[in-house]
Amino acid sequence: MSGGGMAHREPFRGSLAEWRESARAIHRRGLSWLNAGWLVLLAALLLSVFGIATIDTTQPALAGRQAVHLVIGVILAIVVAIPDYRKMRRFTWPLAILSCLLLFFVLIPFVPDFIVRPRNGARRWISLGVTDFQPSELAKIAWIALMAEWLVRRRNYRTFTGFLLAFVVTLIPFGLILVEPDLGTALLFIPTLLVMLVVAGARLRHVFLVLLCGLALGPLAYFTPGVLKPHQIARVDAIVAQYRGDSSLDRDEGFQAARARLVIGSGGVTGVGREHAAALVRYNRLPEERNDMIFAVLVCRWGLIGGLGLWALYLVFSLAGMMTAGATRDAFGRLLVVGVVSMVFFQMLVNTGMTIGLLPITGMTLPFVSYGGSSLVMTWVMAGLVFNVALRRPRRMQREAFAFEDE
Amino acid sequence: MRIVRSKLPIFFHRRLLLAVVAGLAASVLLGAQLVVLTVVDGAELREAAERAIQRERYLPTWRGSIIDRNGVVLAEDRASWSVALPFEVISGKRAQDLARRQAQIELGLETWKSLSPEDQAAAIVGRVGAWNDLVETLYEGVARYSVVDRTELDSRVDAIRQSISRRVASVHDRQRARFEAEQDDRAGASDAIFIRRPIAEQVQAHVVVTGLTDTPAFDVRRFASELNQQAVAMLGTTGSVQPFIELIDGSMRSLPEASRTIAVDQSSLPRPLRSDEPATLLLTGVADHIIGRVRDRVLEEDLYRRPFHREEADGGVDLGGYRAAADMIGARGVEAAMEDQLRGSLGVERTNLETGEVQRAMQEPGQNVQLTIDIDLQAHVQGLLDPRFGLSRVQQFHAGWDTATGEPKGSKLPMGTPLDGAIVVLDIATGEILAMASSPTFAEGNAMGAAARSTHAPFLHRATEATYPPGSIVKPLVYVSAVTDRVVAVDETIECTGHLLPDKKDQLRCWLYKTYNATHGELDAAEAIKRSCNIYFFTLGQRMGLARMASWYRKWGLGTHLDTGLRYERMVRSNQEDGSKEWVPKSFGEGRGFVPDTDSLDSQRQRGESIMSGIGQGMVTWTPLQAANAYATLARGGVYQDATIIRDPALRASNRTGSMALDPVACAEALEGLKRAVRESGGTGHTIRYQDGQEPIFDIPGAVVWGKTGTATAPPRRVDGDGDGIFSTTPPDERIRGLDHAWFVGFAGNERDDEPRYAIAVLVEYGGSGGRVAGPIAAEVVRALQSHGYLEGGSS
Repeated sequence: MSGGGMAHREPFRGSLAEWRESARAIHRRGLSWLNAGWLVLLAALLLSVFGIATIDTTQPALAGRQAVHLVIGVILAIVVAIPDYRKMRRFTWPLAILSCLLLFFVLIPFVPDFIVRPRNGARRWISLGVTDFQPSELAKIAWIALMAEWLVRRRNYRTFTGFLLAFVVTLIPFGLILVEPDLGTALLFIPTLLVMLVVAGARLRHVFLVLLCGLALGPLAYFTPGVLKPHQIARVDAIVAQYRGDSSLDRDEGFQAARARLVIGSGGVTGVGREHAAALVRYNRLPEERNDMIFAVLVCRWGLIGGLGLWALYLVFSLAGMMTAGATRDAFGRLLVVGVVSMVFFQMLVNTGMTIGLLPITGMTLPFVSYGGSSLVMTWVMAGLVFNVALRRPRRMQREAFAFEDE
Repeated sequence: MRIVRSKLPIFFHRRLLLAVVAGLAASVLLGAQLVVLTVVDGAELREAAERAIQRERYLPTWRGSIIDRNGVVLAEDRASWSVALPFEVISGKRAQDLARRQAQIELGLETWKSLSPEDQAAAIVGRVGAWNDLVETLYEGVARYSVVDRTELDSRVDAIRQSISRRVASVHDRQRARFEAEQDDRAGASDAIFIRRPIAEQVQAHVVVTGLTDTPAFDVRRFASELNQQAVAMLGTTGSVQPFIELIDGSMRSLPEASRTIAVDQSSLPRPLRSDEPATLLLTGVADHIIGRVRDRVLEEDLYRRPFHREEADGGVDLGGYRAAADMIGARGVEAAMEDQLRGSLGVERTNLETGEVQRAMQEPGQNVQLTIDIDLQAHVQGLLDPRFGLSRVQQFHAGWDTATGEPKGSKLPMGTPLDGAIVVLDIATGEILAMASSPTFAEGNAMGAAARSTHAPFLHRATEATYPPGSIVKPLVYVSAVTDRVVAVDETIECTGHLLPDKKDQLRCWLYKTYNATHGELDAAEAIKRSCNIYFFTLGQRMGLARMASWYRKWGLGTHLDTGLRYERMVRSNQEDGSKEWVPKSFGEGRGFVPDTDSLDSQRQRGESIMSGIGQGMVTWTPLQAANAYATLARGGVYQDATIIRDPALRASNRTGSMALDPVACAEALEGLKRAVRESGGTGHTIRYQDGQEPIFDIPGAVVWGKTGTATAPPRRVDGDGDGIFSTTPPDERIRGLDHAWFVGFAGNERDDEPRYAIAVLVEYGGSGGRVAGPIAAEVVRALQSHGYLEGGSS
């Protein structure tokens, strides 16, 4: 606590938000050390450690490397947290353009394979020698910042045209990532944008309209030939078959989901422990066990308790993030934090949802937990941004942002 | 809402709350699903997942042996090797590949790579001849060491080549169609091309020789390694060459006693066949109808009946069940009927892949099944039915000679025509079947041409599966039944006037009246049985009425399975009334015979049938085994005990015993008739006449015989002259009418105590006269009982 002078005064009674709104707090200069950002970092750290422990179940050698990634991630997060984000705000547009260029770069067909290394037919990675860099990870941050900037600068998203315009802008990274192809990551942008629009005060009827359209578009995309690729249709078929109790697809289209079910189910309430979990994962041939399917390994080892514990950490992360957003008065900071938190939360939702068989299989990592340098470091950069916002005090007499009437 | 607004005065905070609530709701959904997976379905999923850690390997079992009453092994599992050739050796690809490899070694890889494709091809062509010669050596060697005719081997290899090239073409056609359909689904042009990958059969080895014993198998193995050494030498390399020949370990069912050479005494045969030299016969397929067969292919019905992998939730396996792959299954006879005994169950070896711990449950070999038959007696009896022996082919003494002119009587079947038949020998005291032969045997049937096969139906077990009209052999049974029912007095006489109905001389006649225009006059029961008078038994049938006759026939065992140990059930797909198909059990291996159902006949038909059934004609049919069984019951005075072929009472399907409560005086009277029929002049089974005299049929020192002949009107004999499996009336197919089945059923005992010990039934299909055709065979059966020590006297 930097407020050492508070010791002889009457202690402040009230919520953290109220304290931050109080004249006493506003008149203080410097950084606000008492903030929910600490909880965000703590949750992120616990999640990362949880992830390393899970990777250690099946790939002890990789657990060490992931620990190195974590250290890099934490350092980068601190680096990102130091300069005032309000000053960094001016780089929003250049960053957005750069990330779009990088996204475009991986798609250029004649770029040699040693620079852009295709995996499973997808061009998502730029090889940096020591590690691979995934431009879409950067694009997530750039786009969140851009949308925050976009929504702060204009009020027209309260009109239907302006509301749709935000989606049109989003279409640029969305489309570029979609053709990599990386449908899973691309689809994260839509709910994240919706949440940002909601907290920014967009009209809820517009939001519901989009949700309804989304609900209608899903079946339309499934039944219109050529929209979805055959393997995507197959994955939807597989999840439908699984709910019907039909195991005929378990050997091909539904293989990954069926294996995950077995591994998760064998965890039971308390899990089976490290050695046995490793054997179960190995001999049930769970694919992608350290990346997309890591949640299955985690539940196998620590059971229902482990799974609920993990979700609890994500909830702490998200709620603390939302508190951070609630505590700041700066409109850009608010949207930046909400965007980052929503992105992480939706990624978690989609990943665990598909692992436990609620959603079709799509390639997506579990943030903080899955093995992978680029993914872990960039998620920590996001956490650093949240902490950055949490540290800043509102400027004096700053007007309350997004003060609209309820509908 | 108001509370929210008062607590959260800032609009932004309220929107944040909205987002948080939505997120929490999604989290609850996830949590619920995880609870379902880990808690609700957890145990089940855990079990399934744990199974992946266990590797199960099934340990082979072996089938129980079938042994005869003296412990002689009749059927057993034997080690057997198969020789298989890799498809690329058969297709010639191996020779090409080796020629290429040789060229690469000789020219050096760098030089080889610098050659144009044409030059490379020429280099291969120049060398492939030597490799083709090596493959030729391989065929020669395989044929020599596994003792297979070279042309036979070539035709098998050709068959494999053709069948696989057909299969490859069809698989690739299907794959291509699917591939093109997928390409059409993808929007836009694609540069993907269809690749013909080799199908499994093209990389597997294919069996060309089966059933090798150890010695030739090791010869083949040695030869295979020599070939490989030679190939390595030709290549001039230190490397290795893939094997040219594979030996596959397996087991096969062997019938060690099926082929036997027997010597049968001919000094006691009817005069035209008599010889001082014993006949030496090489028999094939001795007892093979009884033993049955195994097949090594699992059919759908097996999987339905007893699947290895059960559908139930426990996911367990039945170690004695059938797997869709090759598995040895009893298909007929005792092999099928005693399948569950013989089968055994697999062992299982579970390896925990995590800990390396191995658990073994040893296999349970199948249990042996002991039969009641004596294989030596069986072989002897089988020999009596062999047409080469003479008693079972059409002879002039079967038809006889005209008493007035001495001219040979005509025969509807040409002299020497081989006849089919069956013999059953039962131990009266125990009901055990000592011998049960059917001719032709299964093995003989396999060696037959198509025409003979469809005419003689060799795969039919004539002793138990085929049903025949009984004819006169039922007469003693009808008499005893009628006395027991008080329809006729024990000593009542009935006058034979030649025909039953006074005003209809051309219907319901006695055989004597029909052939010789003579009558039997007043007859008591014993005389009626001795002379086989039709009128006496027509009268009994008439008095009884069809309902009572049918009920008595059922008591004597007609219309029901005896369950001797040969009956088995198979599941068959049957059309249901609603058009669907259902699995229903169907019985095989034992005929039931037929007894007319009174409800289905009008009263006039009933009257006719009741009269006809008095002499065993009309609609009734039974099997030779049922005949022997009914006679054994008569000999026991009405105590029935089903005939059986299984030694161990615990394994029998039926152990029916009980009493028919027959009139004992009538039984004695019937036996007296049976005795007179073969022992007194004028009995139908007493005399055989030749052109120049006559002699008794049963002249067996030390033994006594009781017996009844039967000459039963048979349905037309259908001859499939062209072997197309269809019986038409145009030559060379024939339909010969007016033939009779020849029966002889009776008892044999020792002269010393004059007690019936064995029941014997002999049937000769389309043989004609029961006395002249079946009688001499029955006499030889009695001599066989003597020579194998079942009766006193005779020489062994």
